[in-house]
Amino acid sequence: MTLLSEPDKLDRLLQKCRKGDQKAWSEIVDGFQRLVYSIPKRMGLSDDEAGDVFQITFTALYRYLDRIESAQTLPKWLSVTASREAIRIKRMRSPSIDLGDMTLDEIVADEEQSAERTAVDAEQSESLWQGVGDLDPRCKELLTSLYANELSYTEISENVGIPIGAIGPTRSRCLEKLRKILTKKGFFE
Amino acid sequence: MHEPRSYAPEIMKKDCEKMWPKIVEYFHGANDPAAEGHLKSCEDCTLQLSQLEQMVGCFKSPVYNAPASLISAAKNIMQPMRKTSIFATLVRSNLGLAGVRSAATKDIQAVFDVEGEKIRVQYRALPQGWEILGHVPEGATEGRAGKKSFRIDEKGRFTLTVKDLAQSGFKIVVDGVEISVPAVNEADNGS
Repeated sequence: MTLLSEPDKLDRLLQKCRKGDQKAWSEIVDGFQRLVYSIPKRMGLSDDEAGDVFQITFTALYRYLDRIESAQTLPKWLSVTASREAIRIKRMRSPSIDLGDMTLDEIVADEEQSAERTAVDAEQSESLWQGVGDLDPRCKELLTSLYANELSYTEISENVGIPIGAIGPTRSRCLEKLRKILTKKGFFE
Repeated sequence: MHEPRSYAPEIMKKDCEKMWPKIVEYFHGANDPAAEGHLKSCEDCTLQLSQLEQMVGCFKSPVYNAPASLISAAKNIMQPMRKTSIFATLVRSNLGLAGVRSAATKDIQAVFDVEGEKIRVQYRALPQGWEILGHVPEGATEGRAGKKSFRIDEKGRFTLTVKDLAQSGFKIVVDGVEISVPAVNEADNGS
């Protein structure tokens, strides 16, 4: 699902959701499940805690559907909501952390900034992986092996079937393809 | 004095296209004075290098798909809207066949469709009106034709009488959903 880069489609789905269209709601859940679930998982929360964040975030979205200004703000809204909830759960898990000289206002502001940063990172990451999904299988496997799985050239040659000497040039071509895909999706804006 | 070279845009673009693999290698730690020198003077390639850094950086942030059970639970937050009333549509009848549509018609067979379920109705002419024999989906509990209510048996069969075909429309209730069957002479599309 590539709802992040299809604001018109997302807009139509949102309007349908506001009228109680369950099929449209399901499409939105499918389209953003990875974005929302990845946030608490990257923050180190357990599967159960991440599940709580997930359910709370989508319940909040259902409740506040009418308050989402536009399709373009939805990904950010989801990311920030999930981040805030994940931070809250993390804080509850470790109530005795040392807050130093920070005032309550400063702590709240700091957590808000943290949630915003996490949200931006999460959206970028989701955009990247949607772009990777649009690559041909060979490039997808090569770039994932190189940068996500950090395999050696020898391992990549065995798994992906590219001669070691060809990995560098293939990498270069695949990165260029990915760069063009992501440019079209507005990743670098 | 050394004059800086000025490039036509097409030549610059070709140079930049050739430089991309070198920029990639440079990004990965290769010692390449040519790439380094080009980057110092080319804004486009410098931009591409920063885009490369951004892309590769994002790869290091893993993504996680939510378990299917969580996704299913989230989808169920919004329940499907339950219809409270449906209109049956006429699928076929012998009312409109050539030679049959006349005042002498004594026996009409009609089939109505309700979201894939069939309702079969037979209309028999009587001296004082019409007898309607219907077979509706199981689960129908009650029916109403105008102000008159009628019983539906456990197999979905019912019988009622009306004065003329214009009064042959009726409503039944199945699992809390009201199904409206139109009068057969109004429903027929003349086919």
